[in-house]
Amino acid sequence: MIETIGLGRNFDGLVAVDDLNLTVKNGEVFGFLGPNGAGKTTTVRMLCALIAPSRGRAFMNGIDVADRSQQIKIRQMVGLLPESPGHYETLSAYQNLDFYAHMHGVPEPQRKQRIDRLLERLDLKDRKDDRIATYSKGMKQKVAIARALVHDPEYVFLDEPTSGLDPVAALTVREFISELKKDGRTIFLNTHHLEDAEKLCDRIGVMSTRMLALGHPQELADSFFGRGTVVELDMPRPDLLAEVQAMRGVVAVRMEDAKFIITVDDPVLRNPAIVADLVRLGAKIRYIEPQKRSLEDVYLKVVGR
Amino acid sequence: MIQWEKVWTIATKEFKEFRRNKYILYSIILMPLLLATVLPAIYVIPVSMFAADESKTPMDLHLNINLNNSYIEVREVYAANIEFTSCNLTNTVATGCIFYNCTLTNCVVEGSQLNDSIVLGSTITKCNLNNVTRINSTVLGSVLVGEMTTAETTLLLLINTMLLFFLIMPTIVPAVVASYTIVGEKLNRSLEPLLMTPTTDLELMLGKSTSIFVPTVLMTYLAFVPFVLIVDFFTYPVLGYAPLPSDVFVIAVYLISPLTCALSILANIIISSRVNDVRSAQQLGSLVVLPMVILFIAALAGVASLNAWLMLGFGGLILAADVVMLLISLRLFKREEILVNWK
Repeated sequence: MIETIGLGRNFDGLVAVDDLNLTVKNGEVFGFLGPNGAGKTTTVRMLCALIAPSRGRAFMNGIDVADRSQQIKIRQMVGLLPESPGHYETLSAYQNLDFYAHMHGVPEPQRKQRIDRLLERLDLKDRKDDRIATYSKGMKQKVAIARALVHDPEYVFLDEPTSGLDPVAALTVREFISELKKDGRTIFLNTHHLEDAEKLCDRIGVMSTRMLALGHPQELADSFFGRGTVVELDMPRPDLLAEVQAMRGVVAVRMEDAKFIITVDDPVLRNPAIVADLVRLGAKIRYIEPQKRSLEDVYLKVVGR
Repeated sequence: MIQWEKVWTIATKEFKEFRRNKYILYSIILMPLLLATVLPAIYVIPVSMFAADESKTPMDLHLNINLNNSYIEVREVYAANIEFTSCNLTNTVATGCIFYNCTLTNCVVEGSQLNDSIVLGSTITKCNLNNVTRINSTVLGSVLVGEMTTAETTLLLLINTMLLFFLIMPTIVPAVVASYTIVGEKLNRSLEPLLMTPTTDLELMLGKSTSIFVPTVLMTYLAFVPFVLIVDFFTYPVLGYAPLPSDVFVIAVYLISPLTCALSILANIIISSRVNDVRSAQQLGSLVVLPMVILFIAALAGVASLNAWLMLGFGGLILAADVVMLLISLRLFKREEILVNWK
């Protein structure tokens, strides 16, 4: 489990992270969203015991990240994909991974097996002995992901894993992250790709120096926009707007073309009555569906646009 | 507790990278070997060839002594075929004479033999001089028996000058290599993944330093072999003995060069934390050669003579500087420092 209590970090008097309270359960995929300079990378570095918190505490699997005597233990259980892949470009992918496996103390028989498996899974096996300098950006990113996993860590921190990848490579990476989740690893995903976060994450946190919103994407949408129902009629009926507004459980209603977008306090309980009332008022209903709010809507609302 | 296996893993990774970088390979291997062979060839061979014309064998003066003088004062005379013992000669012209333990002031001496004497303001031509102290005097076409010839003096001075190379090389090579392995890695953004490995800051620093230290010192040692062979081969006929390896060179190469190499590496770690490009790192790192150059200028200017004790003292100073630099480097080479404060 990852846990932070009032975590904060200053740089030369500037607050980068403030009062961060967060719990990420084992096996969870947690999406960490926020604008540039929001403190996401600083938070990850603190959790990986690379830099010390200015205040508050953070625990990785119960180990205090500020405890210098335990920091090597933390780095053993953590795999990090940094924002830039940062490879030894004159060496091959295999040599790069072999070096990191060595550094993490992966024993010889497992080392080769694990590297081969990762390279195969990420479609890099055919080029494994080529110098990384000759790789495309997407391939370098895949090698960086393999590097983060070469020591089989429990916790994986991925900073923009699909950044700069073509759609096929991005899909490979997304599928790979899903596989990691199935393995039961805890994944901390720093991303600006809201689609990735929506598809992959169990919960997301939106941060801008401090945590602004935290929860499941749908829960956040509900909490910020309410639980809406879209009722599409055969023709626009603005005359019914006031009557719908007066129906029980309706928090807000607006009309877009021939659609009523109705925010209800409890859609499961209220929707049957609302539909019955609309029919009674002469509305011809084409279909009814829950209103979908994208993570982008939530994000933009949370970060203040 | 340092895990040396991890230190060595970092170092061997660096070696693999060096093998693929022609510039580093040239700096580590080719430059020392070339300089160790080309430098003595350029400096020593011409002087040795020139020295073949010079001789230390006394000339046959065909002396025909017909008078002996002891303990007398000789002034303003012309003396020929006389042996002087413990005499004082002033304003005298002497030819075909022998002098033992005399003092000659403002004299002109030709075709004579001077032994254990002092000459002041005199002109000595075509004489054999054996243990003669010369003050404001001119010696022409003579043989200084038992003394070094000009060629010998020049050769020994050149050999000593080339000692500087063995002190500078282990400081220049790390400046070049460290700029790639530390600043290069910083620019390449590969430091962060490395910092994420379960190693201590000290192990990381030792790994990086070892990768620079081992090849540099090995190549310095290796380059010394052809250097000694070339110098000895060409100077033996002139000097009559093999001047290398001398105690000064042995101390410089085997003791001081590893210390200067360490100093350069540590200086480059400090520099790497403050600069953001390879060239600046190389230029600033090269400044470590300054103490070595100052020592040499002082030695060649006659402020201090290059002997084993001076070299040991110099080694002690470098060692002290190493300790200071190590303490500073250890403070700077920390994960937090690298990620937050390194430029």
